Amino acid sequence: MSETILEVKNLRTTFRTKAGDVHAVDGISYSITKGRTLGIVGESGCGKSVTSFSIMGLLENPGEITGGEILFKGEKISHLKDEQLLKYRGQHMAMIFQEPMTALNPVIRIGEQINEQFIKHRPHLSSKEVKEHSIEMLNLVGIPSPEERYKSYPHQLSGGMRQRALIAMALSCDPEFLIADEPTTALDVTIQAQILDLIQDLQNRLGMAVQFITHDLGVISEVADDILVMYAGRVCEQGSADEIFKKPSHPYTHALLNSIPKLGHKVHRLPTIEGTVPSIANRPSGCQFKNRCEFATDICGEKQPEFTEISSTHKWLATTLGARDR
Amino acid sequence: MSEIILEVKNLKKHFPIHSGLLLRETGQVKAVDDITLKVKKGSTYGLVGESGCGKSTLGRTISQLYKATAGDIFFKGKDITKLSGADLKTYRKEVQMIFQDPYASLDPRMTVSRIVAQPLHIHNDGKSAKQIQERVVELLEVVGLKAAHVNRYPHEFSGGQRQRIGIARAIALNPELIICDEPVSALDVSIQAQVLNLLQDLQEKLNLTYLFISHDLSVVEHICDEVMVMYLGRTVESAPADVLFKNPSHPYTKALLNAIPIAGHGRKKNHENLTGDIPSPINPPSGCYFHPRCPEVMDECKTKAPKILNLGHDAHFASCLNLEIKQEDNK
Repeated sequence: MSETILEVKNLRTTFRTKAGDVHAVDGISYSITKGRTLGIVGESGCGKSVTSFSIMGLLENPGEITGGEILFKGEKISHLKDEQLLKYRGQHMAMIFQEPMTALNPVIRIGEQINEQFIKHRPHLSSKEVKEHSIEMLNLVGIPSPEERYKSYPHQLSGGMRQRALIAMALSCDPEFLIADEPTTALDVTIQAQILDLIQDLQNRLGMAVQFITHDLGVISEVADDILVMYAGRVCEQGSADEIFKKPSHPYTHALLNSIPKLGHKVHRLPTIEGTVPSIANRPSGCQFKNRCEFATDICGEKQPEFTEISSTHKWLATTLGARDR
Repeated sequence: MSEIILEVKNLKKHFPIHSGLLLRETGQVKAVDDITLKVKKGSTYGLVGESGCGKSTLGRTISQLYKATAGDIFFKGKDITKLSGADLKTYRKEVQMIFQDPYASLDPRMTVSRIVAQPLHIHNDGKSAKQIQERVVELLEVVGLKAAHVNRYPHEFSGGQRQRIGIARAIALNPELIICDEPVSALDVSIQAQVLNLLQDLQEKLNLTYLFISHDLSVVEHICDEVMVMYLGRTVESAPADVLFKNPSHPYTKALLNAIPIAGHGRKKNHENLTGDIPSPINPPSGCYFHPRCPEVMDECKTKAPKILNLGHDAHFASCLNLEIKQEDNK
């Protein structure tokens, strides 16, 4: 059994608004072991980014963790203050963001932005060594002529190069845990393929645990060992990538997989999921998916769904029978 | 053979670059460089390519939001590049656009009824305010919204509903051709399927022709009858959709198809990715624009630009020197 890097137990993140408390993440649990990639999929507003922000301590007012805990290598980090969290953040845990142009500071040279990591977390290095390390990082992520790029500003780089620079920054202190939050959504497909390869290559070399967030089921299939499907702030199904794609059990997972056009499998009409996600500010009782579910019965509104195990790794939030059993 | 509704011949759109103190013209961006295409009435023609390949510029030049630098655009047999005044207004009535970002393409301070009624007011052929209101309600119902929505503002709607408002506005004047510029790329997958189905329904009902611009090849395969792949303003390959996806000929098309991650296929083993970035259109490479990234590059490719080649069947065209040589050999 390999080492568990991150464990999330019953996490609840709440935004306290004037209109009342909104539970953006409502009791989710999962863990990631060393060297594995967990993919989190879900549509906008399902809480996948809020989960990452909760782990990294990046929640902004009025958001806060109101329940459950987050453990990093067995130590509880969910209650830590900002200063204490600095010991982990950037050093042992790092994050790559979706939009590399907004994540980078436009008026500071790329090299200096990478230097910051070393200055903060490796104070014993001399400024010459810091520069050498940064150039080495740029080289590691496959940026051509790193000495010159060290002096470039973000706007002088293409989207793919900016994302590489961001990855260099995230990996500069050899983190054990990396969160990639939609890292390729803003990129073209050929560049996306390069970045996905790069992340996996670096993961193999450095043995990181990766939490990969995306709404693209194709991308998740490419990178993930295990998958967590989220809907309206809750996990509706989790399992290994194979189990999720071959035996989807929750009607939502099933419908989601059906609604994407697949290359080489032309259908006349796409199956859709009618309706929209319920507002998390005003949750319906029972199953959150019932208003859009083709199998919904009266029981779905009354009974709280519970996790049903299909195998030791595969479970789903069930009120009635699994989609594949019907 | 059905009627050709739109024909584009050797279309060019170059944007000048001004720089220096006096802002002299110092160069050109050849956003669209010698594009030729034909669109059949009632069909969907797809334009694909990565960012900066000129697909949106081509769409906007066809809708006359940009004036063409050179070349002709024939709409129902008439050249529309020289149109102005009343003629241009009539043309615009027949060609409408749906934009990518449903958050940016609707005025946040206008109610839904004002947004959808705007084209009806601009091209008013004697309708009273009441008739226009009735038409707005009818349009909203056609796109799957409710009459009760008329007095709401865009921010009260979800992304998918906003895109429906944009579609209602586009079909308000019963156009013949709609240019859809990435209409589903900002939407969640479950909503994307709803909007794609709506577009297909409307096409059947109103006999619409679509020029469908997208970077997502799986969406293009799903909805398009014919497809053109563009790279740096030029045609790389064009063919009926089933031919292009089954039998891609150009190395770039192959690489694009190969780069798409497919749900449920797991990790691809040793796939060959294109290296490098898309070159800047300000300073494109010599010869074949694709040669610095091409896995099948030959010495000739660096100097000689390829011609557009008919691959002999089903109106399948590609521009690649390698294919030219193969075709010569076969003769």
